[in-house]
Amino acid sequence: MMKFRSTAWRSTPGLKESDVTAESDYLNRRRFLMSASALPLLGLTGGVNAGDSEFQAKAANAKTTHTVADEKLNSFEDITQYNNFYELGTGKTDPYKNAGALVTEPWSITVEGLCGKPGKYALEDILKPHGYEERIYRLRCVEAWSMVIPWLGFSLADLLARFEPSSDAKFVAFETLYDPKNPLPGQKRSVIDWPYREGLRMDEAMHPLSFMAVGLYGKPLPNQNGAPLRLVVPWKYGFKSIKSIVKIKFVEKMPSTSWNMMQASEYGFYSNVNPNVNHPRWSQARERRLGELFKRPTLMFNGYEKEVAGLYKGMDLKRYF
Amino acid sequence: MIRASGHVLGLLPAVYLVASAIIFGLGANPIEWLTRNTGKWALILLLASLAITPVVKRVAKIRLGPWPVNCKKLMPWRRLLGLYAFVYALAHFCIYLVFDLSFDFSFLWADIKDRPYITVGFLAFIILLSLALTSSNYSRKKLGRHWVTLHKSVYVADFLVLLHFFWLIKADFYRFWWYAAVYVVLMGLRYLPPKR
Repeated sequence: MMKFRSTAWRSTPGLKESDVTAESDYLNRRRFLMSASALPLLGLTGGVNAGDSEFQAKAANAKTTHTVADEKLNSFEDITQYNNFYELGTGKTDPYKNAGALVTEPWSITVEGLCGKPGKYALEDILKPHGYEERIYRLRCVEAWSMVIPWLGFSLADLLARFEPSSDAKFVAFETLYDPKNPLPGQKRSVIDWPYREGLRMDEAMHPLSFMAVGLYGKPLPNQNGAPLRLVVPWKYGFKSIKSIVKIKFVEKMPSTSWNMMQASEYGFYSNVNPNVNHPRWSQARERRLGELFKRPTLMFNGYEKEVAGLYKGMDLKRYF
Repeated sequence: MIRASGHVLGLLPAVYLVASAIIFGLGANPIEWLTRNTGKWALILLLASLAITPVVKRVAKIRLGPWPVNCKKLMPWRRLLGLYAFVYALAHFCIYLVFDLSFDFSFLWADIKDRPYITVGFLAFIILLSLALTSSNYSRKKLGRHWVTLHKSVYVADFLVLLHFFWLIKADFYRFWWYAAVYVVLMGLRYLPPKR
């Protein structure tokens, strides 16, 4: 388990709209990407300390590129002690309590399917070419609560592009860690048909808002939040943002996703936040922002309508929920 | 003595909840914490109240340490625990009404109409409310044999409470099945002939 040291580097409080990535930083990152060579995992890259210092250097340079106007950040405690991460237990505080059971070092990610550079990549090689940015996003859970979280990471599109997905790849599927011989505490019962699976349509995955998080509040991602690498798709219900990713697969057909497999009538593949389409059992019109007593109205696409509505043009969102 | 200990039993969860709130706090989502815990203890006390009759019918005496207790004397607990269950259910309902619905009765009606888990939960609450209002000895005399019929509707209320709980679960039914099993056993005991 990663340990946090309270050091001087922290996210800048009082973020402004002007705090966007400088063009030079952005170009630098592009150059990093271009030179990125995909090294297969040999288990000899970067020690723990090397990773730590690399993380700190990148976190220190991270600019805030997205923010949520006029909304307060949730506290680090709220974000890290109230989680849905069934691999570590189904109670909201279970993931925090059982966080130690998730071992994130060493970590590797298998890339499969319709792409030019499949293989098993060490986490260090996955992360190396990417500079980090901070993105403050709303997170809306399907259970009608929400938070505002300062994530640290990089664009999903930048990562996926490195694997050179072919034009036949219409979807990308993700999987969370599951070792049947050494299950995590929550995986000892088959609450879910493990491993946890999620997926996105390729254009959703390549959308500039789709994000790979490696940290929050300027610190490495705590295990209960999906260390070492998790997806963040802010306009979809939280369960789409799969945690502790070990597999990325480019596929032609819509992949199976865990909640959809369990109850297709309640959890669609898209699962876009939509106040007009209720969960069959409860309303999605309003939500409780953690830290607030009363409920507030839920925003279409969780407030990212302007950015993402185009992805679903012409689709009946009541049918493709 | 028995009556006083019944009150203690009914108040114990409240004391426990207040203490754990003070010591551990209410967590990131205090309203959910309050809603869940008041609901949980309402259900537990309903099941405890449901347990009194079969226990008394089957067990003549129990020993509490050196003290033998004639089980018949526990009969007042049935009403007491039932009333306390109602108190927790009332708190549960009020928290929902104030914090989830912001006291907006049009939201309440919409929920009752459209959300089955609310429909059954509200129905159970109405049953418990009418039982609480008619729980006095005076009402019992006044209603005569109708009183027994009316108060047997607690079996229905308990079932609706379980259904209310069931319909809220997304994936993990582990705890639910324990509560449901206790209900099934306690109901079953009512229809199986007593041993003695």
